[in-house]
Amino acid sequence: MYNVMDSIIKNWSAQIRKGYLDLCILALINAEGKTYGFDIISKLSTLGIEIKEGTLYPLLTKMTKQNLLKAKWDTQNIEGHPRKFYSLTNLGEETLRLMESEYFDMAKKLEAIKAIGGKNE
Amino acid sequence: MNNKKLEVYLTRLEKALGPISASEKAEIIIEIKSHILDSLESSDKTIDKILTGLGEPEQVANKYLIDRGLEPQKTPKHPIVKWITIGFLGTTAILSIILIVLIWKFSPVIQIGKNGIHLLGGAISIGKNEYSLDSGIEIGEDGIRLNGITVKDNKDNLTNIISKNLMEDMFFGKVNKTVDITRLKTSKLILDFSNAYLIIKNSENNKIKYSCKYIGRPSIKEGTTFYFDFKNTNAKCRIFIPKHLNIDISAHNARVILKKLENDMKIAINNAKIEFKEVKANIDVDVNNGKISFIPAQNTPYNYDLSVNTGRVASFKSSNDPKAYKVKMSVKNGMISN
Repeated sequence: MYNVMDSIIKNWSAQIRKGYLDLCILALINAEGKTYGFDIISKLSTLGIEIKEGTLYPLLTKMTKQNLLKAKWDTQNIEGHPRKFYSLTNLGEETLRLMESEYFDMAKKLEAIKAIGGKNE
Repeated sequence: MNNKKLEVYLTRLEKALGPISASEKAEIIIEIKSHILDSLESSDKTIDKILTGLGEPEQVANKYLIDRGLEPQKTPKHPIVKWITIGFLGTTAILSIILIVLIWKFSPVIQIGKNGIHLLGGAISIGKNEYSLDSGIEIGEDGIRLNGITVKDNKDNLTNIISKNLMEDMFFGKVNKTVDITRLKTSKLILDFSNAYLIIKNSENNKIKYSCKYIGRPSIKEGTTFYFDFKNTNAKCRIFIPKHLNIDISAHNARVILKKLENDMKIAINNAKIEFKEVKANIDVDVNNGKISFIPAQNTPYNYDLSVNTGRVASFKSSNDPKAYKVKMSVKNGMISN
């Protein structure tokens, strides 16, 4: 029984996570102003959001290509190796705003659905 | 040690990124490397754990490739799978080779039957009228022609001059016989060959001795005329004949070697190479497409009558001695050498 549910949840979770993660990453970069990959992973991990580095880095590159992020190499030799810093572009900021709005809207609608049941009680 | 594993990983990653442009590749690799170094510094994880956490380089590369709409590469299977596969295939190959050698050595390779020729115990069968040309092998009604020079004869048939060594492996029939011709009163020897290799020498007594290997059905008639009919057989014969017999040779696709014979000869050959070595007799040779090599015997006078239609003739010293042997050789397409 549990195995079946597990796999259903896992599947659903994976689907939801993808969009959610994109949002979280943009939000985090926005909050920090400017940050790099390893830091994103650490901070998300602290908040209980796990993302594999093998997933994050390609995603950051993709968002940069989509012009949501701009990347800059930090040549100021922090701890001896170069780092790629990301920050939001204007488009990125706009996209983040729309995503958040959509996300909260979805949460509200879910509440409304749950409330339907409540009305009938 | 850390650095080596890191380098190996990054090299694989670079390779897996394949079609991506060099500058983008470089950025990706530096970023990943930077991440790994950060991981090493900030936690007590081992390099192995970090690399495992990242995933196979091919998998990481695939994500970059997919984002660009490029074909993801196949992830390599675990190396042990690769080695087991190589081992298995290698063993199979070796066993197959051994098996083929065993079959080749111990079973009849060629069988000639009424219905044609069967190779490898029936694995390959060739009917009477089928021909196949494959790297100089021609199989058909006339037998098997191997690896030779293909010549068109005057009937426009393509035939091969067989090379000696190959024939030795292919023979099927054998005959060895010594015949005393005194009783038979043989005075003449006729040899009718196609696809042949003949060595003819004199015997010391009044006996004809022959030793032949052949494919096909030769017939040897013994009488006042000894008639070797080796037409349509691929024969290799060594024949020893008494000195007084006249020889009449008709050969098609042949190589004939006549050594120190004292018999008068009349020879007509098509597509052939005939070698006279220190022959002391009157000879009349007619070659169509071929080569005559005549090595005179020492201190022996010969009177030459040579003609070559298309070809070359070496120079021979003709003698007007009445005791000289008359050597008449004519070649159409070919050469006479000494």
